[in-house]
Amino acid sequence: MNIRCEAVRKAVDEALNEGRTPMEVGARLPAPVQAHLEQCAPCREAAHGLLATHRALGDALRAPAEPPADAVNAVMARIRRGEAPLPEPRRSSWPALAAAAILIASCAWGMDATQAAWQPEWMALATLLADAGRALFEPLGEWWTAFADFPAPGVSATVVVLLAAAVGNWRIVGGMRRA
Amino acid sequence: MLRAVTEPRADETSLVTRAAGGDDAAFETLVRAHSPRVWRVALRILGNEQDAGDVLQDTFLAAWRALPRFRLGNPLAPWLATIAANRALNFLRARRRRADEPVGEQADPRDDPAASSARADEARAVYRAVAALPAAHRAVVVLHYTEDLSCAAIAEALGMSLAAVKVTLFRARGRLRDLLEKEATP
Repeated sequence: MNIRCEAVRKAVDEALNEGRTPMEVGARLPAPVQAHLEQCAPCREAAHGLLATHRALGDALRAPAEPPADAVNAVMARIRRGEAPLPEPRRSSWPALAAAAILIASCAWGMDATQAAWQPEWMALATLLADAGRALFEPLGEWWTAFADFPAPGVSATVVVLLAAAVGNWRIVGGMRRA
Repeated sequence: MLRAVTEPRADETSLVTRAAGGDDAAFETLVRAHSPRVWRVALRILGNEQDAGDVLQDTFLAAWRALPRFRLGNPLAPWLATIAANRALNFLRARRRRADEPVGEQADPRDDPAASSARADEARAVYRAVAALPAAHRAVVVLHYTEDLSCAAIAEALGMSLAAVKVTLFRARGRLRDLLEKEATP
């Protein structure tokens, strides 16, 4: 399958998102795609397969289904008793905060390493991270200057970020619990 | 556009207004009218009637609470379907099932006497294939095919990007085609 065929099959799939019947799907295919389908038997076969799946899915999933006879009464009884729905699950912000902490700590490490003329084989990576770190931290102005003068800013940056992450997470999750 | 947004009927708007003001009799009429669709979404995602019954109740309890925030003039059915889909996914998470774990084989479709046996077989094969999809993919497929929601509406409902919804549908259709072809092979 060359790239052209792949693009055509993606175009067919895209058309399936917008059309229900084969005619509706066909009407959404650009002319070059239709022309390709007329000439390319493997693509035509793939398109027929996709259309068949599309039709089978629609027919089966749209088929009516009746809930149990007492479903409405059960719902209304719970509403009249003033019952609440199940609470929405809380989503911890730890993954995002941990990613931010790692990023900032890496930048701080880069600045440490370039300042201390650390092992030369790591210097290219350290310089890259240090540049990113300056871009991140320099907008802090005086805070940044005081921070950069602090011994081992990489370590202190990590500690500060992890503390901020812990407080942030506690506040976010705590806020959601109260909501 | 296939997924035409249907205008709510005037009587539905009136019922929603009354229900949002706390009229439970009006809400009961809405529950009666929409419970088959909510049931269908929950059943197709969860794959068994007991869980679907729990999610149906939870969906309407959540809707009752959220109704004062519902934007009048919008159709109620897609709103309820998206609540049901999210509640079904939450239900699976709360049950500590792995999101990728396939659900049990879905209850057979209610037999339609008019339907041919071949069509019923095909429907059962589709349910088995859909049940084999990861939960998030199932929700996308169900909202798209059962409720005719557009990719953009599904993205908003499930908190996904539009591209992610399209990719999910693309992959799900490919996987379903393979599964259905495998089933068709004797």
